[in-house]
Parts: sequence; structure tokens; C-alpha cells
Amino acid sequence: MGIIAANNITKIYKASTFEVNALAGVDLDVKEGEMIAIMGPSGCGKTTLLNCLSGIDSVTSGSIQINNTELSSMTDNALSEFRATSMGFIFQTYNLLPVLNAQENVELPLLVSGTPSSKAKRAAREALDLVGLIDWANHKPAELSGGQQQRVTVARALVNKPAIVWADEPTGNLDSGTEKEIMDLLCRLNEENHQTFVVVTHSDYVGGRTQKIVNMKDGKIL
Amino acid sequence: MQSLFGISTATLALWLAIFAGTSILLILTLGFLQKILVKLSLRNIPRRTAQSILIIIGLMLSTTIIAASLGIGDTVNHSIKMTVFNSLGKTDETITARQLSIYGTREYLPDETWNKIQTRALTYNNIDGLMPAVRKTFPVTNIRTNRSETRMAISAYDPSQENNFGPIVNCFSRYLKEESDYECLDAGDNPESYRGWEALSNNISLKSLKGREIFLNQDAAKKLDAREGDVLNLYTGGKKTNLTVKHVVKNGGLAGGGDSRPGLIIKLDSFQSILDAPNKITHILISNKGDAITGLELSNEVTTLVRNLFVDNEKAQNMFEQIRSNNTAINMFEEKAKDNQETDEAFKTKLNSLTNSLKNNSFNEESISLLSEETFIFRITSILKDPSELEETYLKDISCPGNIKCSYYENRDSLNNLANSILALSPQLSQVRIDESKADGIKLAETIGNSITSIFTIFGSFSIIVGLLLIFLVFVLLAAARSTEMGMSRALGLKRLDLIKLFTLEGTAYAVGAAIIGTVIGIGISFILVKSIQNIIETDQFSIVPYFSVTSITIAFCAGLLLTLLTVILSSYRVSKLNIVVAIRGLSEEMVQSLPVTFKERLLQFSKALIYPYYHFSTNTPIKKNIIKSIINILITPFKILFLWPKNIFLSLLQIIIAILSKWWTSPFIGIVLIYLGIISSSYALFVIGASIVLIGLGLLLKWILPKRTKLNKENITRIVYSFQGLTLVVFWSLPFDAFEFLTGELSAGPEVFILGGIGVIVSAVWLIMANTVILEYLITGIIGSFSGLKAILKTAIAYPMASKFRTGITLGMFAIVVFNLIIFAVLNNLQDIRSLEPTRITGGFDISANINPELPIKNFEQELKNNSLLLSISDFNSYSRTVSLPGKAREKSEKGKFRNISIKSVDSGYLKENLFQITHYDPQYGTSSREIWNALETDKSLAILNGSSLSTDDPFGAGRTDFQATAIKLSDPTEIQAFDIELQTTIGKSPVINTRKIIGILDTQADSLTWGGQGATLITHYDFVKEVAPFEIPYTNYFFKVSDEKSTADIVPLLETSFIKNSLKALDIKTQIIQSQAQQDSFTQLFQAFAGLGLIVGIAAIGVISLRGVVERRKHIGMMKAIGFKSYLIQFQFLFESAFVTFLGTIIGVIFGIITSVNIYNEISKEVQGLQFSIPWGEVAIITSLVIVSAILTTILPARQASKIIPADALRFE
Repeated sequence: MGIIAANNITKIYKASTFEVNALAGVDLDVKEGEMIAIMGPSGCGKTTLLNCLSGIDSVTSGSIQINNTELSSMTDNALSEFRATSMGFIFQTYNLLPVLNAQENVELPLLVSGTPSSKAKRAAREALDLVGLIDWANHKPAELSGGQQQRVTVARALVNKPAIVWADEPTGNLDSGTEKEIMDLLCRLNEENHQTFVVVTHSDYVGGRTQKIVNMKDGKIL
Repeated sequence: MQSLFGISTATLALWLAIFAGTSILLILTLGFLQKILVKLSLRNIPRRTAQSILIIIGLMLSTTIIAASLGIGDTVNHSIKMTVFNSLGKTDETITARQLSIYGTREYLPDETWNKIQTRALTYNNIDGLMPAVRKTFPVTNIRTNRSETRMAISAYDPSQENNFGPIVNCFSRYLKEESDYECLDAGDNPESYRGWEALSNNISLKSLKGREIFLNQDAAKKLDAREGDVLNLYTGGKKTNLTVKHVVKNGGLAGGGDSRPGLIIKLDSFQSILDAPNKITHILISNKGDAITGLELSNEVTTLVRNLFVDNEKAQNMFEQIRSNNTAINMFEEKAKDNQETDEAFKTKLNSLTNSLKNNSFNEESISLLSEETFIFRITSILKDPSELEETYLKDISCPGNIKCSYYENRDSLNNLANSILALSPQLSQVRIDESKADGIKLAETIGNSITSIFTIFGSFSIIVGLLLIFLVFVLLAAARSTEMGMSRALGLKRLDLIKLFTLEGTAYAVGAAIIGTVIGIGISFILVKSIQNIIETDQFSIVPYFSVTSITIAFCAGLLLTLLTVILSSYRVSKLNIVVAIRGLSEEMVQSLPVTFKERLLQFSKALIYPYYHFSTNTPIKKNIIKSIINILITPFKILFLWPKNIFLSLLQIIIAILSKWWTSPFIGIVLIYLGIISSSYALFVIGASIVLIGLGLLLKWILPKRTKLNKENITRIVYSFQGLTLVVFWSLPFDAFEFLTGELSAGPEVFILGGIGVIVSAVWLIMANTVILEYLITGIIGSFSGLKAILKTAIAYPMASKFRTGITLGMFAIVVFNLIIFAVLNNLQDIRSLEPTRITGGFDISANINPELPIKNFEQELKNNSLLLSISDFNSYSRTVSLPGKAREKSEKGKFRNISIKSVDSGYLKENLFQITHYDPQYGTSSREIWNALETDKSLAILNGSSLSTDDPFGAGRTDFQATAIKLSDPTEIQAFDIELQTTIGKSPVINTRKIIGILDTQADSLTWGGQGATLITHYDFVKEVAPFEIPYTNYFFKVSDEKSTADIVPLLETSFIKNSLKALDIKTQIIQSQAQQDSFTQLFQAFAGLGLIVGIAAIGVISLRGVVERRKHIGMMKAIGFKSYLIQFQFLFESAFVTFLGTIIGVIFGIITSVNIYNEISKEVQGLQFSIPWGEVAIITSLVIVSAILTTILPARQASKIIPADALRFE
């Protein structure tokens, strides 16, 4: 069994008059150190699958195991701690805190998991150095370009050296040049650190850079 | 109420209604012309119900506070009026003897008075009743119950004249639970309640009284525990008379009692016979035509007629001619009548009437009436004598008729002589005094109502300002919430003006709703407050009748609505300045800097505005393709131009003025002009505003210089400039009020300075802090840096408010203002604790003070005590001392000015030896301690001391004084003074006697607060003074006792009263009185504090609004934080900490500057009141601080919980 194991998971969104089957019995197995891409048309359930796998959303039925741990058996607080120590996130819209500078944004996952302040600072600077933004450490997100912001997000996702990095449309807001830069970075980190990457994308280029593509349609894996 | 801050309430209501009506009409027209805007704005309201409710709560608070202030004034005014109507009944005017006895009681009326008025009334329709009366106060004891009343008000009436004086109502009295719990029932009440009392006819007649029978009013019945048939002992001098209670009657009308004095009614001839004063009367009551209320309208006319009847016309004409010959005097009266500071409208009317008569040389009935009115004469002579009035007239350099330049200096002597001559003539004008009893009562009600409203409005003004800040904040937040859709609307073609209209329309809907709810709640609060006041005063004589006039409702509603609308429009203007791209993409405003408009462009806009009609026609043609549209267009174009022309000129001119003001050199210039104006007009307010503008200008100068002389970046320059401005302003506003007196001289200030100073210092402090958020953030994160677990949360909790400078600044300001106000109340309330810390300064070491009826003197205290009491003996007292007060006039011998009223307290040797009152100023030649000065008074009988109130005061809040004021020294002078002589004029015999006393010390002002009663000028000297001036023996009237340890003071007081009932002795336990008065004062302060604390609700509402907004705004960030591992409780904690942090910061600002301002106020008060001790009530400060912070945290719990429950996946999907 891989680091991520999903077994017959379903997710139903209920409105007052109708229901949407966002995930309709998905099985997925991702091996440690693997980099996979989840692709498919809009509304097929890619982001919902990523959210459920990463534990930021709950499934209606089925089982998800990360590192042999069943997510549904964990409390909200335990899940949060699990995410803080074992996972990293990269979002399409970066989701950096505008009131903090780049370094402080990167420090956040470490501080929240109880890392001493000085150690967190050092690690954040190393992460920023890794993504080539050490000179921009004291700048706030509004003062950075889209590509730079996404690199800060990557640094934030990797700073706590997580086993799995979840990336939802990591290059969705970027031009093709920057898209390539970001993917080079992710692939390098995957190779060097043997971390598992699950990437949701529309981009064929991004899909092409991963080791495996999982195609989805109408909440199912094809 | 008829006036508020000197403005007629009717006029105020009318103008406010016109403005409010016009504004609403304009806004409705706007909506009618652009229906889409109405649709867009109104549909926003139900989108978020909770938010809309919160907005209305925030918006209504200003209206609530205004309505509560007006309502409390209205209710008090109305309640006093009702009390006046009830207590006086049909009596509208009263005639008494002008002559007072030396003890201040009225003498009998001249014999011919009754016949004269009765004959005149026969041919005068507006008087429908006259009642001859004797009114005296004597002690009475109920033989059955052995209960006494030392000051029973005895009213003797002639039964043949009782018609038209309203009924005397029988009281079906009964006891409730215990004997002291007494109720007077109406005949119409439930018969079950009578419990066996025989139902009698409700109204009873004076004619039913026979011989020594009396009617006892319900207050007296309660006091004496008396019933029908009880026999009472009446003590009149050496005589004891038995009186039988025929009926207990309700208070009010002829029965009196309404003025909290128990009373009884007896037949006139019976009482005259008891007093051995046949045919003598002290009062004539006049009833005007109409009922108790409508009769009041004739009061002025009847008073004029009656005064004319008794006045010596020749002497009145002499007085009239003397005034008429002095043009300056007439001018001064005219100026005074125009004075807006003069709130007494009745006095203004009288002054105008006299001035007109003088100018037209028309010596008529009206002027005779005015000249024979003692109080009016006193006030006009005060105008002629008062240097401040003269100085004001001199400064105005008014031109007299005949182009004579008048000035104080030229006419000072003639005005003084005129005033002295008028005062000398006045007593000769008439032997009787006619009082408009009811009209005066109504005026008093008016004055008290106005004062209460003014006090509450002043105390509430901070909350009103806080409320307006909240409105501003609410609309800015609303705009932030809708920035994307507003940006879209602008992109689709909506103009900036349309955005203003959109928000104004929405705001109007909120404002109208909030004004209605606010007015209703304000009325409710006012009733609660008045009820609390009644409980504090603890009197059942004054019952609260909830009342709110239509005028007040109009003022509260319209003022609240207009203030809200104005704030809404201002905030809409700010909101409309959004950049479309910034709004749509949610970027920072700093990313887009608009190009500055040059001065040349502004001038061009102004030129275009000047020739707007030409510009309009050259760019628009009224002729359209559609003929009907063309006609309509042609018809409305002139109106359009009439509206737009002045509007464009005004706005473009305003832009130019703003551009000029933003130059560094204009502010100091304007500031210096205001400082100059402040100094020459002695206005503290103008001076401080001017100085503040200069400091702001210096900051602008720095902004101009720094880029030229340094390489600092723009951000640092801005920080330096704002810090400079904030810091200098904070220091300036924190300085003592008289810090610049050495430069400016003495400046005059009123209560507005309290509000101005408070707002000034808070705004400056917030300004300073918000300019240095980076430093603050650095310091705090540095301090908490070692706690890594919390750091992530604390960092964001601080970073968010520090990033939103505008909303945080406003919230900080709101909390700081509220706390500032509360702290000042708390600290100033604490100053009064001197009474409990050093009670001897107030009691003088005495335990009991007592006074007797001067007509019933105690000849030999010790002997009479032995004869009268078995339970009390002289050994129960360590000592007793005696004093007597005589009215007199005084002037400083060296000044030779006008004699002014003073009370002369002549004290016995025992008093001089025993009292422990402190002497705050003394001549070391006579002694260097309080005891030595008191001993000096005993040794040398020509020496005296003055009380603190006899010295001139600089109190800005103090009322104008008319009694004696020594100028040789001031309270703020050093303790060692040089003795000075005072001339005293007393008229006890037929002619005035003048004596001289040397003043060797000044009595502690604390001694005035209880024992000496009141704050009037008082001189204290040995009893030998009385022997010098009185041709007959004058007894002591006040007694002071030190109690031995055998009995308690509380036990001795009633025994003392009973022992000396024949002398009408009234005793007081001084220490208990101090405790009660302190408790009453504390309750009042707490009431004001609670009212001021209403602003806290506004602040808490603001925190609620901001937190709710924070949850919505930061939804995605919260989602992300939860995704990367933040636990729910940490998110919740972050929001709670954020609120607590902002509130704490605001509270700290409020506490610090509240204490600093309190110190400044204390320093000012201590100049006038000796011996006050400043101490900070840390306990209360802690309670206020905790209350504010806990309230804010509690308000944030709900939004914080909402935030913590956000599901990351939902939030990250949320746009």
C-alpha cells in the first residue's frame, strides 16, 4: 500500500433541492516519492479529491489512509496537527497572509507546530533561499509578482519538510515562462527530497512533467 | 423646555425639521430620478440581517443619547411644573411685606394693604380671588403619640375668602403595613381600602373649622402620626395652645406641604388671637381668573397692576428719569438683552421692555412694575457695576444716541453713581413685595430642566462623537465588503457621484430607521435616569411624571438623522474615491497612486464654475429629438443651473482652499491668526485650536524640508512627520490649562474646553500610535518572540489591525474617548473623599449642629435643658457653642467700593475655643496656626476671618457672583497674608451702622460645605459685634455640640429636639449628614458615569462589526491557515486576542490621558477649593479597564467561533 490509499470514496454536496455527487467511488494509490497529476475538465471533482485526500474536507463514505493512518478516525485538532507536521499546500491563488512578509509567511507552519522561533526563522530563510527569494524575505505579498508569490507558497509548503505536498493548480495564475520555472522547482525538490507530490492541474505541460497522470470525469477516475 | 444652550428649542426644532425635511426630500427626488440606484441600495439591506441590525444599533446611539438628554430635561421640567401647580393650586401671586426681620423672616403687611387690593380687585376682572393670610413656622407636638414637628408651617386663612382658591381635599387616610407607611386616598378609590373610615364628602370647607380646630396636611399627619380628633400642642413663644385635628387633608393648594414642609391650616382670626396680633396679616394670596394652569397666563398683567397699585409713582418716575439721562446705561441694557450667553429669556424681555420705555420716554405701568421689582433692580444695577459687563461694552465701542462715543472708562463713575442711586431709591418705591409665585416656580422648572439637559448633553457629547465615528466606520467597512461589486459597477459606467448617491440612499434608509428607534429608546433611557435621580434625592415630595415634548422629539429625531446623514455622506464620499482596478482585483490602495491635480487645474475648474451658465449652454443643447423631452428640458434647465451654479462654485472653491491649506506655510499662518484672536478675545478655545494648527503646520514644514535635506525614503519621512505632529500635539494637549498664561494672560473657558481637550488629546495620541505601528509591532512580537507556540497567532492577531490603519485608528479612538471620559469621572469623584479622610475639616470637631426659630429664643441653655429633659443632661455634652448670623453688607476699606451682601456670623467664646476648623491663609502677626488665629479672635474682638467663598474666584464654570468678594487676596495666594480692614454695614435699628473689622485669616473652604451652609460670603467674628450694632438683645440661633461618650449622637439628636421643642430646635447629626451627602454625590457621579458609559456600547458594537467583517474578509486566509495546520481554537484565540489587543490599546490611551487631564482639572479646582487630595482610584480604573476589555472579548466570541468553524475546503473555494 502506498503513502496515500483511497478506497471507494464518495463526496456528496447537498443543497436544499438537489444533490451533487462530486466523487462517486474513487480508488487511488500513490507511492511514496511519487509525483502525480490529477487532470480532467472543470467540475470533474479534481479539487474535491485533493481536499478530501489532504484532510481539509471530509468524505461522505469510503476510506482514506495516509501513511497507514485512517483520516476519518482523526479529530479536527489531530488532523490539523497532522497537516502541520506531514503536509504542505500550494494553492492557485497563493493564499499568503497579506499582513505578513515573505519570511513570516513561510515561518507560519513551523511556528504553529511548536518549532522554536529562532529555528523557524532559520528554516524559513533556507526555504526562501531554496526557491531563490532570499532577497525578498522582508517584502509583503503585495510587493511580489505572481511567480514570486507562488514561490513563497512553495517555500511555505516545504519548510516543515512534509512527506506529501498538495498542489492545487500551482501554475494556474502564471504565464508559461513562470509555469516552467515553478515546475522545474517542484520536480527538483521531488527528486532531491523524495517527497510525494499530488498536483491538480488543467495544464498539459504540468501533467507532462509528473510521473503519473490520473484522469477524472464526473467524479470518477477513468 | 424653552431653550437649549441659549437657543429657543422651538426655533431649533423648526430649523432642524426644515433641514431634515429638505434633505430627505432631496434624497427621495434623487431616488425617484435614478430608480436603479434605489433598487441597488435597498436590496443590500436584507442581504445580511445580522449586519443590518448591528448597523442600525450603531447608527441609533447618537440619537438615543440626544433624546435621553432632552427627555431627562423635559421630564424634570414637567415634573417640577406639576409640583408647582399642585402645591400652589389657585394661588398665582403673593403679596408680602418688603421689610424683612433681621432673621430674614417677613414682617406683617402694612395695615392698609388688604383694603387697597380688595377695593381694586372689585373693578378688575382678571383677579378672581384674594386671600388674607398669616404664615408662620412654629413647633407642634401630638399629645397622643408624643411625636413632634419643630418646623410646622402654619397657614391661617379667612374662610370667607376661600372661593376660587381651589378645594381642600379630605384625605381618607389609612396605614399600610406599619404606622409610618401612610397613604392618602381619594374618595374614588376602592372602598375596601378605607377599612372602616367613614366616607365623608371629598371637598371640605374652611368654614367648617371652629375655634382651635385645624386641618392637618398629609405630610404633617405622617410626621406627627396624627388622626382626626388628635389634640396638638402649638408653641408660640412662651405660649402653649391646644389645637384639635378636624381633618387630615391632601397636600397641595392652600394645604401646602408640596414644598416638603408639613403644615396645618387654621382660621385666620383664631391664629391672630393666638399670636396676639389682631387684624395683622403676613401674606395676601392672589388667584387669577381661570384655573390653576390658565391663570398663569395673566400673571404678568396682574403683577404689573398690583405693583402699580402699591408703588410711589413720584419716586418711580425719579428713578426712571435718572436712568433715562444716562445713555451708556441704556446702551448697556440693550447690549445685555442681545447677549446670547444670557439664557434667561424672561430677563431679556423685561430688559427690552425697559429699554424701549426709556428710549421713547414712556413712563408707563410696565416700566413702573419693572422698577418696583426687587430682583430686576438688583440685576440691572449688577450690569452697571459689573466690570466684565463694562469691559465687554467698552471693547465693542458702541455708539450712543447722538453719536457720543461711550466707553467704560469715560462713564465708570456716572454708572456707579447711577447704580447706587437706584439701589438707594428702590426700597422707598413700595412697602410691599409682589411675587409671581407660580410663574417663578415655572421659570425655575424651566431653568433646572435646561441645566440638566445641558449637563447630560455635555457628558453625552463624547458618546455622540463615538457614535458618529462608528457610523463612519460602518460605512467604510460596508464599502470594503462591496469593493468588487462597486468596482464592477464603476467599470460598467456608474459615476463616482452615483456611488455617493448609492451609499447615501442606503444610509438614509438606515438613518431614518435608526433615528426612529434611537428616539424611542432615548425616551425610555431618560425616564430610567430621572427615576434614578428621584431615588438618589429620596423625596416623595417630587414625583416623576414621564414627559417628552413634541419639540424635543423633533429635535432628537432630526438632529440624530442629520448627524447620521452628514456622516453617511462624508463616508460615502471617501468610499467613492475607489480605484476601479484596485476594487475589482482586491489590490492594495497603495498600489495605485492617482496623479495630483495641479493648482492651475483647480483655478481652471473654479473659472469654469464662475461662468457655469455659459459653459452649460455651450456644451448642452436643450433641444432634443423628442419635442416633449425638449419642452421639459427647456423648463427644468433654469432650475438645474440655479442649483448647479452655486454648487460648482462652492466645490471648486473648496478644492482651492484645501489645496492652499495643504501647503506647509498656510497652517502656521492660520494658526497664528487664531492664537492672536484667542488672546485678544480671551478665548481659550480659539487659542488652543490655533496652537494645534501651528503644530500641524510645523509637521508639514518638516515634510517639505526633509526630502530636500535628507535621503530618507517617503515612508520614513511620513512616519517622522506624523510622529512629530502626534507627539507635539499630545504634549501640548496634556499641558496644564494655565501653562501658557504667562504669555496669553488669563483666558476664559467654558465646558466646551473639556470636550475639545478630550478629543484633542485622544486624536493626537491615536495619530502618534498609528504613525508608529511598525515600532509597536516590532516591540510586541519581540516581547512574545520567546513563546513560539503562540507567536504565529499573536503575530497575525497584531499584524491585521496594524495593517488596517484607518479602521484600527477609529476603533482605538472610540475606546480611548469612552475610557477617557469614564476615568475622569472616576478620578474626580475620588477627590471628594476628603470628607471621609479628614471629616474634622468639615465638622470643625462638632458632632451636632442645631438651630432654633429666632422668634423662640433659648434664654439659658443649661438651665432650660435641666428643666425640660429628664433623659438628657449637660454632662452628655463635652461642650456646646453658639452663633448667630446677621445679614449685612461689606466692602474693603481701602477700595471704598459698593457695599455688597455678606452674612456676619457672630460666635461665642466657646465656639472660638472649641472649633477645629482650619485657617488656610493667615497674617503671621496674629498667629501661625489655625488655633492661634481662633484664639486671636477671642482676645481681640475687632478681628475677624472670612470664609473661602468671600474671595474672588476664577472658576470658569462658576456662576457670576453678586455678594461680597474680597480682592485683596485670592484663594491661590500663599498661606501668609497681610491683614486688611473691612467695613461692615448692618441695619438692625432704624439707621445703618458701619463698623470696621480687621481680617486676619481665611477659613478653609471645606468648612463651607456643611456647617456654614451654602457658598455665600461670610465673615466670622466675636459675638461682641452684635452688641455693638444691635439696639436690643439678639439671641444665638445656632448651637454646636460635642457629645460625650455616654450616649451616641444618634440618640441625643431626637432628645435634644424634644427638650427644646418650644424653641423649634432642629438638630443634625453632622457626621451622618456628611456620609449621606457624600453618598448622594457619589450616586449622582455614578449616574453621570453610567450615562457617559453609553459610549461603551458604541465601542463594543464597533468591535463586533469589525470582527464580523474580519471573518468575511479573511475567510480564505483562515481556510489556508487551517489547511497548513492551525487548530480551530487557535483561530478563535487569534480573533479574541485581536479584539482584546485593540481594546487594550484604546483603553490604555484613555486611562493615561484621562488621568493626565484629571490632574489638570484637579489643579484648576484646587486653586479654588483648598485641601483636596488627588489620588487615582486604581480599583475603579481596573474595573473600567477590565469591563471594557471583557465586553469587547465577549462581543468577539461569536465571530471568533464562526471563524474557527470555517471548513478549509469551503473557504479556499470561496470567492
